[in-house]
Amino acid sequence: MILHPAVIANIIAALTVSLMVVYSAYYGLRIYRHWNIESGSELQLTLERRTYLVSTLLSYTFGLQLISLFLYVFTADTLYPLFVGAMCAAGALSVNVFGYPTLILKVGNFLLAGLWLVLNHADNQAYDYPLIRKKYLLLAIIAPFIVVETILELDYFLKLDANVITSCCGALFSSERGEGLGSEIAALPALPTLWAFYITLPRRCSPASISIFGEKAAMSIPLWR
Amino acid sequence: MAFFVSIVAIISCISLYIYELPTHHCPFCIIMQEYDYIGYLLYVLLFGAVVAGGGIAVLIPFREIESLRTAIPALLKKTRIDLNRVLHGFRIHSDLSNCDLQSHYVSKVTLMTDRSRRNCLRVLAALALSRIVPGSVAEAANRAVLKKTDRCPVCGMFVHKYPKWVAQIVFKDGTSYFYDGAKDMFKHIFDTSKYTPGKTADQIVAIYVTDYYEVELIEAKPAFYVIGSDVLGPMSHELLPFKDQESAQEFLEDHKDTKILRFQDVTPAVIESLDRRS
Repeated sequence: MILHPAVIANIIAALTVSLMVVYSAYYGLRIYRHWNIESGSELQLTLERRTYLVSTLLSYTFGLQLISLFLYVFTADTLYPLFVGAMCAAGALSVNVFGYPTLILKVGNFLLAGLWLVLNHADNQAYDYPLIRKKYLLLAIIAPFIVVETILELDYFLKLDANVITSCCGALFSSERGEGLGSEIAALPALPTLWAFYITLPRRCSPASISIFGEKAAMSIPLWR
Repeated sequence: MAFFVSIVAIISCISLYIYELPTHHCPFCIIMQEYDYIGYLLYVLLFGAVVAGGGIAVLIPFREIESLRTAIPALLKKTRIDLNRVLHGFRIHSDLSNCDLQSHYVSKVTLMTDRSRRNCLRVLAALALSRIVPGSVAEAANRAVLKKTDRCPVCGMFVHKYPKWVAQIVFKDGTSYFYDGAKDMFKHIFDTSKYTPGKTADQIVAIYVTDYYEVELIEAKPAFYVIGSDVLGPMSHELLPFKDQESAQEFLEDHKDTKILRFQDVTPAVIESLDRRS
């Protein structure tokens, strides 16, 4: 393990998020099962009070989860000078097998956590908790991913070994090496990829941006091989 | 879907504009300080947009719920207004900015609200100046000086971080390129037009490498190169340059299983064998 402030920050963030999400998921499941807005029972009153705590807690926790994706990449970018052969975060992440799976999970969890925050925000706008079951069901789906991510992230940071010769991103994303996803993506023909990119832009945005980007692209470095 | 296409587009073509190198595709280097952390901005915008878009898609089925009838359209409206403002800003600044790569940054970065746009533009103009001015002054004074902005044309690394491994090639037209090790320098010699389109190997007028013991630039052609040692360069297994046979021999005795080569003995096969060892 490398004792670097950024590594410690990552580990603390991951453990905090996991702990809070597991705690919230437990109450979330209870709310999911026993919620009945019509009822005035003691259980319902407790759950209503609990949902205030849990949703506030999760707003901050998922906020931290969103930031932690960038913190993770920033850490990899900070640590790369320690590894022979690495010239950026790409090399630092390939020091051991846990680097990239953690990154992919982090991206997935970023999107799920973002969706949860949107649902929670909409739910809080209404007076009768219309989305409460759905948001806690989503939480129950997210929680295992967060826990797995924390385990992988701990594995990655604890097994960082400065003696490993890692790969330079010039090799990982080289267009002619032809092995691995990075190389295959890098080798894609530029023009069709750019068109695919423009076409998937929101329709209202595309006509203006196509002409602007198109002119610039043609005047920049010769890319169309 | 658009998210994956965007990531693929960043790796396949957009990153090339940022690096200004025809063979460098890394999606991680753009977050480095040397590129003004532009990658963070790109990724924050991309991820933010995906979450906002996904959030709206998730909310739309619930718009008929009684208590959300006013809340959800209000949320959607908010997003749409933002989109208009973003597009408005995008058009104005794309018209204003000229067609170089720096302006490419500007048009991407100004995907923001009206208020922050002016400040952002000022910061970017300052950044653009800070990137251009030191370079041009140094270039005018002495073309061959290693600058902080010099990158290896083969791998894209910033060379100034590895002063012990610098290699250099000077072309007939006065342009010179720096490398973070003799290995990448040889790769450039073997395939010049791939890394620097429009240039060929016969336009090379001078080649320099850094002597391993003396740490100073020496002529590459008369130098001796040791391979197979346990000493690693920034690109792992390397050719270690020495100015004379004695120092190469001395190194050979200290490090087992090594071999001395002359400049003309280094072939693409030797370079490939070094890469395969890593």
